[in-house]
Amino acid sequence: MAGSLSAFLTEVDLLDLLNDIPGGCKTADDPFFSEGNKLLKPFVKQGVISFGDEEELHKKNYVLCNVPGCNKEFHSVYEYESHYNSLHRYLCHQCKKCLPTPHFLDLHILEQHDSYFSVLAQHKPMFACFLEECKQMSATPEERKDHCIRIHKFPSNFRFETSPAVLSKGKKERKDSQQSDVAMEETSKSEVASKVPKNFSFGHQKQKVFDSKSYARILARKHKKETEMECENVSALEDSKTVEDLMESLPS
Amino acid sequence: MTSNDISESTQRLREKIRVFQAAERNSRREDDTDSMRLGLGEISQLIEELENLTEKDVTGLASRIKRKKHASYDDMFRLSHAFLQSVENIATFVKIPGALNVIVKELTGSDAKSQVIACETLCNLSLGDSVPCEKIATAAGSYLITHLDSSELRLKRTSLWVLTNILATDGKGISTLLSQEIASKLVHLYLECKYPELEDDILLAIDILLEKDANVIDANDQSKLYDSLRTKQPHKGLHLNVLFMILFRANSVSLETENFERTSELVEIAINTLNAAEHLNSQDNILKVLYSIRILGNLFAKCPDCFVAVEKLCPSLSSLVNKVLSWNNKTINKELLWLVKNTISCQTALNRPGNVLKELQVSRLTIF
Ligand SMILES: [Zn+2]
Ligand SMILES: [Zn+2]
Ligand SMILES: [Zn+2]
Repeated sequence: MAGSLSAFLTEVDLLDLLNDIPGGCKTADDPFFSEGNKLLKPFVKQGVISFGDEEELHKKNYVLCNVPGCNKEFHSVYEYESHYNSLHRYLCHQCKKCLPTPHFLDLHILEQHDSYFSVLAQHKPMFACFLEECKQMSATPEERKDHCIRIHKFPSNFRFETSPAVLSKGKKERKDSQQSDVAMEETSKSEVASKVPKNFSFGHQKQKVFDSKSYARILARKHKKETEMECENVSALEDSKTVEDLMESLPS
Repeated sequence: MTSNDISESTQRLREKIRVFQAAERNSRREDDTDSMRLGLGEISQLIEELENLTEKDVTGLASRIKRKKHASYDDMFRLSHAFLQSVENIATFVKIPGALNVIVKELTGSDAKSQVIACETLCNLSLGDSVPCEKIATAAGSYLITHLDSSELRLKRTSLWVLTNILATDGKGISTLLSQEIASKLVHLYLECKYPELEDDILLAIDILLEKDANVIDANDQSKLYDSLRTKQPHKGLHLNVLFMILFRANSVSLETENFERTSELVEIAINTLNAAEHLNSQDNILKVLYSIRILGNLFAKCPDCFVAVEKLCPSLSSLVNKVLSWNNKTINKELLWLVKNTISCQTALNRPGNVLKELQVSRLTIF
């Protein structure tokens, strides 16, 4: 380039130039930014392919799931871990039912194994929404189901509420996992009992034990979350009152 | 086709992909998970002699899984591939009543591997237009959102990918997901994320939501997200992009109530990013430079006091500006001059001596 002096704009030229540029604060949708936005590649949807377990499949050694009543066999530690994380991570220790997430496990323990819950539920709406982010409490499971279908557009046959217990002992895993229908059905209590190994006391899982510590912990966790939200002070207050009420009514 | 034929040809398909992937592994992605991401139709360009799965194959597979009320790994693997290959295959599948429900049933079944493969099948189905996306949202949205809390990383991540694809597609799918609280779920997922490899994927989904309509993320969640991004020292263009969207949109975190310390942190982030930038040769670099300029420019306009932080961090702002000017990108230089204009107002407001214009080297050739 010939002559650095002529290559750059002078101060006067610059002042002229700046006069044509609108100053001040600009929001993301300001037309001034539209040209710059064109430099950014738009998001392109992506699919996925995976592979890799083939080698594992041909290996002869198996990993056995040792969760009581499961005994499923796996070709690799990875497969086992995946199985464990999906199906046993959030296990109810009382009835051996497996839930998909911590929230569903919380709901399950409260609603299924807690005699105080049913007492309280007669006086105030106690059935929390299936969506952890939603703070709606319903008076009955039916009301909650209706709420989820109406407000959250859940499918009318939403299945997680009847998530599978562990697979039945006698059932050998078929190569193609054709037993997955099991997941759609509520496992009967007797079936659960038949899966409890000998070192478990029979009938134990049927007892309605009120575990005050875990109940308080669950409520406290919910309470903490709500306080963090800082949006529903009233309901948070109500909940902390519930904890106090509960603690008072507990046998010492 | 008998089940054995399918199995054998699936083996061949897998083998081809595996050979291809071994070669690609280093170039396309760093981590060693056995999966990779591809756009619609990309697979056929990448693997030339790949078996072509047609609409007829899709119809056959769909009736097969409907008849059995179950989809095997093989069935889903082949469907997954058919969807990756063409939008016609996707359209054919969603037109067959009941077929999608079989996949959703596998997604919620008791077999962990089936759950993941079903989720991947949905991910590829979501490459289609608004119709498949709406159908997935209606039939599987609630499950996919639930799986975001799964402790099985692959299921969690793949669910996120499907949901992101739906969010990026215009149509009713988005409103279905919004009614399932996806906005709040994504923010919480990001704030509580224990997997660094997942953070950017979550943020990308949030960014897509913010671009569509920033108001769907409530002010409280936006403010938490802002705190998290600011304190984590964003180091990628996407982080700055989201930070900017949160700060400078309607219903956004109000800067007027920000204290000096927090705006100084933002200044530091932007100045450090510009200092570290060396060129504009990648999308990430462009994002970083562009959003650093935008954040600084707006900060100068909204809270001139924060200029003190610039003076501390960067005694010669003009040499920093000159560096970016020298890359000769007309579009970026225009925004840079807007930053200069706001800088001058800032200096005037603070009664600072000196003239930034004297030191600027704005090439005549690269001005719009
Ligand atoms: Zn097991
Ligand atoms: Zn239980
Ligand atoms: Zn709800």
